[in-house]
Amino acid sequence: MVRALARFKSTLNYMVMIIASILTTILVFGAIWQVFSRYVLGAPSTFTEELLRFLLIWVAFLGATYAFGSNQHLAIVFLKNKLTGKKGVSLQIVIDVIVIIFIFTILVRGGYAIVDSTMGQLSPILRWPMGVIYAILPISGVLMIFYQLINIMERSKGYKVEENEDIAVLGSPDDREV
Amino acid sequence: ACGNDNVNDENESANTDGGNNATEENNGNNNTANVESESFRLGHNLAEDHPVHLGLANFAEIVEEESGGAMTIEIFPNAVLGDEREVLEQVQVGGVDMTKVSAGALENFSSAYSAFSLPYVFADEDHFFESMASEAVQDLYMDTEDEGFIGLTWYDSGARSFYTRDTPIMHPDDLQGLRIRVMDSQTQIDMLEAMGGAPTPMPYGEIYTALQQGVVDGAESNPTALTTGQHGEVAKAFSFDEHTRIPDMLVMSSSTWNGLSADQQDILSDAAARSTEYQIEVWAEAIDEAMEEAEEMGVEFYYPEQDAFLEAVQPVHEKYREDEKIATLLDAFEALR
Amino acid sequence: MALQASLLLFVTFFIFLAIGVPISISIGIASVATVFLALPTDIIMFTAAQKMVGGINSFALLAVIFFILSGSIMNNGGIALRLVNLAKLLAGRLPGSLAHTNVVGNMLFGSISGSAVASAAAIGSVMAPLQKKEGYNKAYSAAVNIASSPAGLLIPPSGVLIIYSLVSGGTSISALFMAGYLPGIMMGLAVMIVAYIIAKKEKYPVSPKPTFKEGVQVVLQALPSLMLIFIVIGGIVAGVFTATEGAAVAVLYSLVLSLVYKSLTWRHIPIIMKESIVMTGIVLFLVGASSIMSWAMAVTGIPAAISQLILSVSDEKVIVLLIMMVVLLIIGTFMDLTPAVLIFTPIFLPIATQMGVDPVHFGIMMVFNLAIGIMTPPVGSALFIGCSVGDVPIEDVIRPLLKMFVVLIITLLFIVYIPEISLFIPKLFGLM
Ligand code: NA
Ligand code: NA
Repeated sequence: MVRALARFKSTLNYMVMIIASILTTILVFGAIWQVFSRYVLGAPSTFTEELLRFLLIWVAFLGATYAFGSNQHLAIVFLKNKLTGKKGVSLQIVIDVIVIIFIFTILVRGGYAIVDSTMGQLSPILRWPMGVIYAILPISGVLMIFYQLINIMERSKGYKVEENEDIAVLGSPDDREV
Repeated sequence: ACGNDNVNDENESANTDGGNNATEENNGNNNTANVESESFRLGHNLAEDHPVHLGLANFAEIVEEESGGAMTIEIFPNAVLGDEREVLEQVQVGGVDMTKVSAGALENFSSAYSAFSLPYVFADEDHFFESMASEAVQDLYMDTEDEGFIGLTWYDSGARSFYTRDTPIMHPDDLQGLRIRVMDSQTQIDMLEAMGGAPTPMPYGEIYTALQQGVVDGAESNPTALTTGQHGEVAKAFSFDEHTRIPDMLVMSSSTWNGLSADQQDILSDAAARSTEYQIEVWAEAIDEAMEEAEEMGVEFYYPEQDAFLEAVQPVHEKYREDEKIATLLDAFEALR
Repeated sequence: MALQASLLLFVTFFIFLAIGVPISISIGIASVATVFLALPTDIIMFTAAQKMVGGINSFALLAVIFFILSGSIMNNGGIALRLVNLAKLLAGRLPGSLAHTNVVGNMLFGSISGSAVASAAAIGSVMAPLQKKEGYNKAYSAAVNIASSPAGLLIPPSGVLIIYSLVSGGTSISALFMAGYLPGIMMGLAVMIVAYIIAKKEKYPVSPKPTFKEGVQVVLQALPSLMLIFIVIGGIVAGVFTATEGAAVAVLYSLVLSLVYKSLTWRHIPIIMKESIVMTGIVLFLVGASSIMSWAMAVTGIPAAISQLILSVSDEKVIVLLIMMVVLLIIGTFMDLTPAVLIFTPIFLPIATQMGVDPVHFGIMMVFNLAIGIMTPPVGSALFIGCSVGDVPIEDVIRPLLKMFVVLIITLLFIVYIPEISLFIPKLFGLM
């Protein structure tokens, strides 16, 4: 069961990252295209400003989703580290449940409400329904809850949720696992 | 956003010393209706010294007075509730009762409002005022009821013109190859392309540095941008081609409106109309002051002929006339010319 | 209602924070709880969701992911080593030369990467073995590395200044960047003064004088990395691109450079992508949550209430600024830089501007202040990383760090009370 969950989680991780990476690549080249079109071609790109803003929103929520899965969101871990054994696990599960409640009410329910309400509104330049942009709220919300539930199950079974290697702690690149 | 960072162009506040003294005519007129009490939230993205804020404050004052204090309006300025689009979304679901929003931003909610953002649909200020008072615009107010909001009145936001670092724009040819910052709006991009310039959408907050460093050659707005936006420090040529007159609209949540009694609705409508008359005067003063101040900053004003500009944008009119609602409005304006 | 709301907001926030709920979620829950005083539930859910997106919906914030990306690309052995060699050339003739090399290395690397943590890790891990070889005290070396690592948050380009620009309502990024130079350099110099005094006492060695030929070689090797700063800052000043676009150019440049240096191969790209996306997600999710908080505060009138509270203590600019700085130093002991900027800018900035403080100046003093916080226990990202690469327990570095705190706080006072330190350069460039 836990192993199946772990496999499901890593598939989910993979998909989230693939999509976010593609969008991030578009962000970089879109911004450079904006400079190039204006400075070299003399015909400023008019759609990139809006497009890149919208894609950034998606990348941010996908990244935040992933960070819930790997337990990387910034938190004050003082008390958590003090409590060891069963107490520590219980506290962590309480925290996970609090996270789920927030995500469910705001991202999923609030997000759904705003998607529903803004499908008729068009973005100024691309003319995309704004509901499509807001759709990342309920989408990432549901994924975050998935991740949190998996984390709770792993923790209650005594597994440690893998905390990814710290983002900045890197020696030579060859030390990194690929 | 967390501040007023992504507010539109319309966040250019203008100083006036007009103050809130518009209700003087109505002092002593105390036959206030005996209406149920109600409090409203009104959010907008302007500073508290902006002429449109003064108009809104005047509106709130009249409402309170005419309802004998039963109806009150709390104003949240400076985009504290969100930028124009966000607050309008809140109005749609009834989270906020009223907001001021540029007609330009409304075109994303209801295509008919694009008519106001098209270049040279109004011959001059008088024609603009007459058009805004027309039956067609009154009908438009209720037309968006299903979208979740209705119009109450409009406020003057002046005529928008080009200003550049040093090149006067006397003819569309002068725009050739110039990068001009435009608002986030397809109508504005279409207009500038038709005139031969290179439209460059950019957040309002970046314009100053962009002008200064030459990322863009110019921008377009009314003269208050020179002073309150301080663009006059870096843009020295302001050319009154007066291509658009995009009004600000006072809109109200349909659900709030429909929950009111007829008496309450009348008080709001009357107050709205009266505040517009007041606001037009405040606006005119603000523009005069801005021009004086800009002149001291070393800005030169130019007054081009409009004919060539008008001719250049004809294809834009044709394109937007394909939308029936826009065509109806344009015809109504045309009839008043 | 406003005082009641303030109390509710902060008490709820600190309770959730203390038990270890992620900061972003703590902010979100506290804000939502506070708005309950003013609005019905369905409206709160709708608007809070809207704010989460609205807070991120900004072109300027693209620079955050771009600088994280370029920092992550740059953050590898090749570039750090070249910059350390250059730093040694610049500062190697002072007593305790390796300490000074570490500081200058952090300033150079930090200016490029814009991250204190990345800098402490990259420069620290190059320096640690060298310092060990020459018999430097481990705790002292780690303290030097930790205390100088945030210099790059002020020396541009800087992601946190972009975030400040945004929450402060559009303060010019270019002006903020230029304003950060002197204070950032002063942060480094402050640490060097302490390092100098300790080195004299401990009789740490001076590096041998390099030959002219060696010097030229070191400069040439470091040049391509330094070019990044010239390209990005130069491009912004020359008007080729905006600060945000410049950040994208930095990504492309650092990518090409690292591939040419062969310090990076294509197979590293997915890891860099993942790290950067997650980091961006964490930061921007916080930004989104903070904009729920700004909204909640606006609706319930909290900023005005706090402003009144502070002004009731004193309406002297000197005192008010001092109060704010003390509060921020306390906040910084347990909270990371970015969330503290996001939470306290909307509260403090209006009071400061009302007293005639320039928003650019205020941003610099705030970042300098909170940068001290990331090196203090109990929670300090630079402290943790510095101890980890320096292989020394946190308890041991506290003593040498304390001396540096004293000097850094004195430097902070200079920066707070002499606006020209921050504003001189942006004025010189005509940016304000
Ligand atoms: Na930097
Ligand atoms: Na700390």
